[in-house]
Amino acid sequence: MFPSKKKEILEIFKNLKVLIIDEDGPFLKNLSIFLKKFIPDLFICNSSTQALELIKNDSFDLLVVNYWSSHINGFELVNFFKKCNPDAGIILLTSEDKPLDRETINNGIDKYILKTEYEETNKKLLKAIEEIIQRKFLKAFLLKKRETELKSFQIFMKYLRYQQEKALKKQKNIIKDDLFYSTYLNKIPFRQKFFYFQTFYKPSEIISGDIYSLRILKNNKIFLFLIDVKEKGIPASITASSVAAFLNHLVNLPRIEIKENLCTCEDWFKFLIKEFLIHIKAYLLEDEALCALFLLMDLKNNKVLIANFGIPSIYIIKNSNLKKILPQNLPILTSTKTFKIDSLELSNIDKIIITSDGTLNCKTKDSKLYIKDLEKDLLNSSCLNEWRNLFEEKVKKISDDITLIYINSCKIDGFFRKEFRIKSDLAEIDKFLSQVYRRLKKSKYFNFLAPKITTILNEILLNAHEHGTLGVSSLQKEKKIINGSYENFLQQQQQQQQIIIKFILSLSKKELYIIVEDKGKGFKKSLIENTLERTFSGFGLKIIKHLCKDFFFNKKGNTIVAIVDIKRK
Amino acid sequence: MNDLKRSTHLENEKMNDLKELIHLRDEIFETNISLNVKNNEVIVSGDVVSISDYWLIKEKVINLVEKGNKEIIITFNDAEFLSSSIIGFFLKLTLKDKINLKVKVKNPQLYSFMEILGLIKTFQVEKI
Repeated sequence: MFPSKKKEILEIFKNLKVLIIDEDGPFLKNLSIFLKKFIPDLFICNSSTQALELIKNDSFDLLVVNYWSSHINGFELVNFFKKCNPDAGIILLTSEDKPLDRETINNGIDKYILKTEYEETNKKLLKAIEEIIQRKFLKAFLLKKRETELKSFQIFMKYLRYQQEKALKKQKNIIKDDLFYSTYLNKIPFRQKFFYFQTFYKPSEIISGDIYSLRILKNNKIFLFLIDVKEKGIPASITASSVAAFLNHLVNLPRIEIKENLCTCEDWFKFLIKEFLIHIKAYLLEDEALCALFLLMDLKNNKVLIANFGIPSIYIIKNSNLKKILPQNLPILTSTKTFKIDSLELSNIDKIIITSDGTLNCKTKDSKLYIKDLEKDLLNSSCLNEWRNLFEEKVKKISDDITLIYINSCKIDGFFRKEFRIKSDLAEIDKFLSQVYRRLKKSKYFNFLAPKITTILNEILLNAHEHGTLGVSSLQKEKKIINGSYENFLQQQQQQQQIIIKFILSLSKKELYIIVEDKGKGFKKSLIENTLERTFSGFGLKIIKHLCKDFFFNKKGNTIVAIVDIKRK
Repeated sequence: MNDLKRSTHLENEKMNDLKELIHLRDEIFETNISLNVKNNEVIVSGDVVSISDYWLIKEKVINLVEKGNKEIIITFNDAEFLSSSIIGFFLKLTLKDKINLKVKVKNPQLYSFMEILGLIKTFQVEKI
């Protein structure tokens, strides 16, 4: 019956609203029974006056009308119908063997059917309707169908994205990073080496199969782990998240803390890993493999312990020499029973870089694996920021989850030191900034630094004043900026608290250390990341990140160390 | 020998210059910028570095908004960087007050600064 056999045509049939007008009652009844199988929304009418009423009060997609009518002829009905339904299809039935004349064409009739035997007429009519559908409705129907499908797809994708973003938020909540862009010390020491920590965490899809945590333990110890599940997408992120949640819980358990006080650092480290293996092996599938790295920094005893289960080699840098520590253990399987650990002297280390294999597997712009450039780039960069610039210049697309933990050492060892104490007050800050700018401008060789250093200081001092002294959160700041009350709020605040600013100039490294301490309560490290994602606030930190060679906070979060490169570029 | 002496002298001079960087003395308090307003355009000359520089720019721009200007052009002749306060103020003008803000920059360093902060499209930044 339908040579094209298109699903779409049948679908249009089902959605078509058709009016049939004919005074031949038996024909109408027969036709109605036949057509109802294809067109459920079918209206039949054997009187032209009743038909006029129907046309007036309703709308139709198709009209089938007999030319012969006792009160009003078919053309008049067609004309009236056309006014009410300009886009509808029209089929004219007649009992006369009369070809389409000019008047019929001008009346916009789509098909002309000669009424013969009932069965034959029914078939001809069905064919005619199909032809009209193909000519008049199919294109619009397909277009609309595609639009609907696209809309549904967009809604589905939006929902999926919302779910994934929520999941990522949850995943980030499981990550406990006590050391995000910070050091473990509250007082920044002078002429003494210490370490600070930075992390680059980027899921390739929205949620990650990588997860990590950096924890400050009691007794001058730092514990970190990095998990990389050898799968992708949601299953990998479920495993990663559950494993990290367990490890973070384990570290906080009182019995583990007691154990930490009772046994050696090495025994405690082994005990923790054993507990983890017992836990994870119960959940691992037969063919599942889990890569994990555990590292314990014992600052008091100057030691680093490492247990690496299939995570790529750790990079250790000392005096511009790079050393690779290969994984001692295979990835964790249900059959894993024993493991080995490495112990290193902390004093022999300037930097420790740990990464999941996502970094190594990235393709560079010339389609090579980034692993070939990594060692060179680590040696050519002095901090995470500099390495990221090199990495982002080379890599065109991130194809796997990336986690890179950068443990950097710092020894603030400048010959020239100067300390200033200013009141935490906008006018005082403004005066100080102006002094710094004018002094730098007068310099013969370093006047080019004036805008850069003053802009950095502006951001740091305002941050210390707003968040440290006044205790304004990023969210409160954003709300006040939007409603236009932030400036007045700042100007009304009278504060007696001080901000301490230290300038330490290292001539050998050509670096200026700006250390600014406020008297505030500090902040949670996770807030830095949230701040960087805000629309109306967080630009201060972005500017500091861009203009400084590097920066980090103290443990409490009320002191920032900004390292400024003073070499002319 | 003379070359060596000259080079040592230069290094010493540079060192003294560097020392001065961190020893502040009282400087005369002045704003660092000068402003010029033409129709709906604010032209800023000088480095925009302090809080008072921001206040001055803000005052001029608000005057233009209060006069009913829906499109405002801000031209920076010299600035290399902008403070987060200025960026926050421009964002409020654009996203909340629906002002059609156009930022024109002469210094290529300021253009790349705005590019890194992802603000080129939002502020319709144009190099001049």
